[in-house]
Amino acid sequence: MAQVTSAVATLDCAELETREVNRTLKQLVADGATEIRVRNPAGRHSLGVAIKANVKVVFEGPVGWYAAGMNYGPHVVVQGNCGWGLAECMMDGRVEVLGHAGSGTAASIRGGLVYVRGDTGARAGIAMKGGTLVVGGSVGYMTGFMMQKGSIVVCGDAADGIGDSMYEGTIYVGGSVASFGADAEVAELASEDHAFLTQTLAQFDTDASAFDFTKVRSGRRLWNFSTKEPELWTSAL
Amino acid sequence: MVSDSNGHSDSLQTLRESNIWTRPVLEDIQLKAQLGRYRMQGFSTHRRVPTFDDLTFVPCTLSRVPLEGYREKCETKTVLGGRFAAQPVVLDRPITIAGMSYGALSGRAKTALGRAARRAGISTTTGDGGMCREEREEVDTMVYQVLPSRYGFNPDHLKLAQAAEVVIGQGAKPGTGGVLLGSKVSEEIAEQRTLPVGVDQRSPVRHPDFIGPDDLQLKIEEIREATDWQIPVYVKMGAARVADDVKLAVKAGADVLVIDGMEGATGASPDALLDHTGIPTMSALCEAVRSLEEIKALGEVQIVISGGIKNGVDAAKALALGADAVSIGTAALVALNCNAPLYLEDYEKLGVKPGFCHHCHTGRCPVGITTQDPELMKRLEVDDAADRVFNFLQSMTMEMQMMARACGKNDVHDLEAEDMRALTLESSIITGIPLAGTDFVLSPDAIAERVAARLGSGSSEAR
Repeated sequence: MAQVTSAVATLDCAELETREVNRTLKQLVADGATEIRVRNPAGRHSLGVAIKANVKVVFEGPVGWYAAGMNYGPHVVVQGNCGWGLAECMMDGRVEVLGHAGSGTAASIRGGLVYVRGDTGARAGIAMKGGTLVVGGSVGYMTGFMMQKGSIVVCGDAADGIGDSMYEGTIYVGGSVASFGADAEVAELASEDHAFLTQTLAQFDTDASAFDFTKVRSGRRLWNFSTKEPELWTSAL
Repeated sequence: MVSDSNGHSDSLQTLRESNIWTRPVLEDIQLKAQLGRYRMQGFSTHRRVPTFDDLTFVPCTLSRVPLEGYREKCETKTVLGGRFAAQPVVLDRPITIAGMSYGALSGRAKTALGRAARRAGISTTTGDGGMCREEREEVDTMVYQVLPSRYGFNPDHLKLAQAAEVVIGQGAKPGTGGVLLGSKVSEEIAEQRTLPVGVDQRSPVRHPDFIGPDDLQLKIEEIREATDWQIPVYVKMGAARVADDVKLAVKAGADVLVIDGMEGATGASPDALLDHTGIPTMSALCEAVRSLEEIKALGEVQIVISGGIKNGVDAAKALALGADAVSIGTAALVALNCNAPLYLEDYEKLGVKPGFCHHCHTGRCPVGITTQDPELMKRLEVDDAADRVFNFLQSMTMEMQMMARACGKNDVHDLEAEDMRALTLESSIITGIPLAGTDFVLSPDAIAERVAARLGSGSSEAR
């Protein structure tokens, strides 16, 4: 169970149900813990969700779906891989995954920063409404689908359909792009883009100048119904 | 008149209209030839489908004893979501206000609905766009929708809710996301949804973080963890393959199923979807109940039925068929004043008249309900509007009680299919209720039995 040493607590969930893990996490936060180390997460789903506090939570192993979802403030570190929906609907905070992440990573986040050192599955950053997603590896198909705001930085390659039907927001791809999604267009990088990339990647000991980033943004041709581009509208999702 | 060389004409004195190329069809084609896209409209399907009107109650006479219609107590209290939630939703009446977005509706309309719901002891539901603060302040019981778009989704707001509702789809357009045309995406609505002002917003239909029924199970678990297993989780689905969908949703862990039939309305939709997708509300309800019975979950998982519920009699019939509550959307808007004969010149500008308006999608609602135009919104006076909705809810409740008492029931939830007869062959087949004047239902089994009986064998061979 939970052991508290000053402001650092350890929670072993080997014998606990998910419900008990989350309740204990919230209780430790309420008791004033500033860092909680969670042992034996063993790929459980829905760990560390809906935490509203300035606390560091370290999962010492892989986690399942929806890890750190709906959070508001905590700094979550996953020392392993994670499933779908990592940090979904996060309002603020920081999530770092040292392995790979499944599909729908950072889905619909409204703030904060999500970092995945490895690769992500399909639709990373789908419907993002703010915040930043940084992927050290490559991303699956339709990353940034219907993105509304915020930034996605991909150091590796992007699979098909990147930026499909984006409303707004910016995607940077350091590797190759298999294909662009409907209404996604390439834009030139401005000095602010370079500054943003340098500053963002420096947090993860990555040199932005080592990449030749492609900037992807919305062409805004799907914003309003139009009969002038019928091919675009019949191919758009 | 054009004649041939012999002076004969093929023209008839009477104009004959084609049954295929009717005037509405011609108009439809010519309009699409201008638009270059599908047509959009608000409101609901124009089709005639089997409805609760095709059923009638058979109250007590000599064979049953009625309750005194205007005196004896008849319970309406309704509990939803006790399967897994620590705090089920308790309603004073088996009615909920359906999810309608702040954006499709004005803030004043949402506020009035919230106020009326609190007085009536029922719940309201958020919609695409998240929680309307004024509505939250008014209502005691709020159902917070988790929609595919996640527009305006905020975990803090979820924690304020008395139930969560995962929306898989809606009856007006199952299998397709919502639409909010640019005329209604005002600065305020755009900010709430994190969208550019004036954009034609087309909501996704798939959730961003799950796809199938197994995933839904995990999503429901996440919502429960986020809310500490306190509040019920509803799953709302447009009526399509109801029997299968019900089983999957129950397996995924839903406390309550909200089934929205094809008569369900919307603020904006391609009309093709409204008229040609989904199955009718009554059919959906019967399918859902049978499905729950099959997996022995009837009673454990509640059904809220919606789509074209227009009065307390419809609600009573729905309860008799096995629903635990009904959800109303359009009826509540009509009580607010939708289609009322006011501001006639503005109906005229839309090319319609009161009683025919389905122009919610334009944002030019003459009575200030489905609009974000500041001047039009002022036309809905919140206090009066809330009173009207409350009065309507009251009338619905009294009608439900009236039917229950006449059938000898002191609780509206005790109404049952046996209290009704079908007025049409199709409603009899759909509901399994005998056609009025007969004692049998025209099902394949019943036909086989009668044939067997007529043949005098009754053996399985005869079947």
